[in-house]
Amino acid sequence: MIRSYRKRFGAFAPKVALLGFLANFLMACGGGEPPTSATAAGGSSAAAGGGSAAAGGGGQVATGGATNVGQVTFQITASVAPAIATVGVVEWSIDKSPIDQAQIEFGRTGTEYVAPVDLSAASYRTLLLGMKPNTEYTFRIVATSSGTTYTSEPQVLKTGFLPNALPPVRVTDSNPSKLYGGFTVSCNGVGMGTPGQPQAGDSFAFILDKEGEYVWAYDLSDSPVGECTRARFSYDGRYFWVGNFNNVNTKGALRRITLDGENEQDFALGGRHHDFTTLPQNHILFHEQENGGGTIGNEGADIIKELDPESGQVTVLYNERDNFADIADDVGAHTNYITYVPEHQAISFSMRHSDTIVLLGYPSAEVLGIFNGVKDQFGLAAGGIDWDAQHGHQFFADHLLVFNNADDDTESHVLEFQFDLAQKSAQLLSTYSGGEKSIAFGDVRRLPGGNTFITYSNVGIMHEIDQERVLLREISVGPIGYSSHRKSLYGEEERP
Amino acid sequence: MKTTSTFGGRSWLARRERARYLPALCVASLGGLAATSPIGCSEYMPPVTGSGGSAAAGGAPAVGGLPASACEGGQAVQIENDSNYSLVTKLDISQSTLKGNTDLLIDWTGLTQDFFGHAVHAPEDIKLVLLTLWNMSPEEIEGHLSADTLDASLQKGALSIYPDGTFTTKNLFSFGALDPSNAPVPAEDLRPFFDTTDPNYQYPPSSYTFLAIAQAGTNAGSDARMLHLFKLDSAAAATTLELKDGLTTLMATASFAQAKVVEVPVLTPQLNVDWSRMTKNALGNVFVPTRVTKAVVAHFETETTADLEGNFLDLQSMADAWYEADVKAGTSIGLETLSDAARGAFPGISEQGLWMTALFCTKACSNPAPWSITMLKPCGSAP
Repeated sequence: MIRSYRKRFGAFAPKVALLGFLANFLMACGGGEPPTSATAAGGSSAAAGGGSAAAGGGGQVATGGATNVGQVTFQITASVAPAIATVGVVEWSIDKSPIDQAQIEFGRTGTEYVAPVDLSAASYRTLLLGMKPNTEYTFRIVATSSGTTYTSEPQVLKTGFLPNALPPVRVTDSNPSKLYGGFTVSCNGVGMGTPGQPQAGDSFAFILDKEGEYVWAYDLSDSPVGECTRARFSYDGRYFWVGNFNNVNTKGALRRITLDGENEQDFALGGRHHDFTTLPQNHILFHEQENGGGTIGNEGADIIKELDPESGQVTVLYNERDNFADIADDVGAHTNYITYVPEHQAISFSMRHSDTIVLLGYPSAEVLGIFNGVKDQFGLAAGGIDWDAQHGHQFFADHLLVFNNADDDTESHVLEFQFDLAQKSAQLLSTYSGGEKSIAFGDVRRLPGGNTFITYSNVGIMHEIDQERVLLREISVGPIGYSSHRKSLYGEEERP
Repeated sequence: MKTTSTFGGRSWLARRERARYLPALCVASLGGLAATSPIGCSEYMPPVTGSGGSAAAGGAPAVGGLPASACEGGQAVQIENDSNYSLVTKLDISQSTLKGNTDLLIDWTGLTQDFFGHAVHAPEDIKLVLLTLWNMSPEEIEGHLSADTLDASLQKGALSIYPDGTFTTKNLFSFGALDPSNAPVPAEDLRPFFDTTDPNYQYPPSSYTFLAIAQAGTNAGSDARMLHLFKLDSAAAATTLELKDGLTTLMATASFAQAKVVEVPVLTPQLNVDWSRMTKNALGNVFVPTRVTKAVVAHFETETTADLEGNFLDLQSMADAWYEADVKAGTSIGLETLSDAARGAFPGISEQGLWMTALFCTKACSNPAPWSITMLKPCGSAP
């Protein structure tokens, strides 16, 4: 079956927070009790000399320093970050050396989260991430020196508020006991006006916790990345990156933000658009229209480029024209999604107008496989299982998940294929249709443990489903871009 | 007793501000108040003389909860449910039936006056036209809009066009999907939503209604200037959707009579207004404290509360002083951060006239009416 190329971004689907006459913005909180754990102190522990302090809306107050009552002394200073009042900032020292390993355990009751300490950081500065607004948390430092573990006395820190302009979130749980948990990372701003224009709307990068509550937010409004479609952690988890939509335009931009929101770095990247991904060396991979931004109906090919954020150097990895010039010239590539695929030492990218997903060796830039579309190598069309428009997707060794926007249907679908890369064969394993429609954007991520996280971007609804494709949770947050989901806010993102 | 006021020239917000929201307004209730008394600590709110009303505060109302209220030497001004005004809104939106499976013409050329009664110059003022589809009847849409309870999960989608000043009409198949570049959605992708000839059509008019919106800003869902409801029918002849004058009317009934008055020290700007205990807004909906994004203090030197109720749309233009500040985060604000249009700092309330503080939800909400209005009454003597 030869499918029409005549597709472009867009659809009748975006769900706007219409007129704002939406009073039912109740946050329904699901999730279970936080785990508790005890950390055994091998040595003596130190008592806190100072007390706790509360942070106001966006303010911060330091906790007092700790003084010694045992074998060691912890000196601790803690506050909430001025820019993001749900981020705790802890600086500390101990009169023992060398310190071999350290972490900070924190939570509302017991240990909910563990923040690893970078021992090379000045004053062992450590961020406490994932805390809810206007909530009191207790933390303690656990440090190991020469085989002995020292634990500070508990310290209390109260978070401040996040921006009141964040879009309301509604969570509906069907089976919370089977949820993966963890955090949802996304951003909004599409449909809220053009950045830099007089009436551009609000745009935020944000993180929701396992209960669907905001625990981190960064205001992108009126910034170069204000029309945000992608927000994600750097590969090592030390930074937060955001990118604007910039569909058929010349104002492509990326911003790198420290997780305390204190520092930011912008990268003006002309025709970059839609998406970007992170690489193990913490470089950024993005795609840029070869014509610098082009015009509607003249999108042409995209060039996949790699950014080294430390040097600012950009290098070309691959030009789609090398293998897809006919598509580029006929309808335009309209590349809309890019991923890193460690299982194949590859990357993948999606070209919407031709219903095509490509697996490309990295850094070889060799085409490893073409899925769907007129150049399909896997017999999908012959098997009657080709799809009509796609954005988000995820590759594994022999599986492929696809967010099928399904322009010709009233709901979008998540398709799962099993494929044999050597034999160039594939079969459809399953389809999930959640009753929602998003022709623009849309995302799908398999979570460790087997659940799947699906984002219907335009309608701002996310589904977590189990392995039997049974809906476990629905989150409604208004129109967003792509999203990712991770267990922890520290370190690399887990893969199933 | 109710009185009806006209739209023309009336607004709750200044025009520039008002344009951001889809408001409510029109019929303002006197709330049983026949007259008002001169302003003072002991006679701030007059007794109710009409039927159905209740007595207003004649003495010092309680300001409960905080360790030290403003009139007890502290700085806390606690806003509570019982200190809030009440508001009822009614929205009427006209309906039409258009031909299905057709590249409809959307035309907002004839829009010269919005539902606030203010002039519109369509080529310049209309920045976004939205077509939205809802799984509900026209009456349900009207009802939910009026009550500010429209559930977004029942919206099945939206199409957009961002006018650039060069056109005031556009065909349906030129619309995009909230994409400011106006990249059109291919016709074949739109047909499932408009093809009423398809026996498997998923949006029958018996259950689904389209809502068209012409708005003055590009922030989708805000700044509406005109609304129109329509359904599709293959047998219909009309192929043009007009967004023109008079398609929408709004009414509102506001009452201050039931609200408890809050005392604050006279001429003292260092006051912290706290609304963390609020649970219900003026419309009777849930008050989420962290959704307040603007705080105002207004002064009316000669008006009575009846005047304010009867001219609810004109509060800002009627006010002799208007101090405001954005609420970036949290559930309280220091009034010393408020300023007027000339950047003059809020000086604290005086013993003359009426004073009120109002809280707005300007981001997650589009109804421009304040979530709360609390009348303030001076206590103590000038410092």
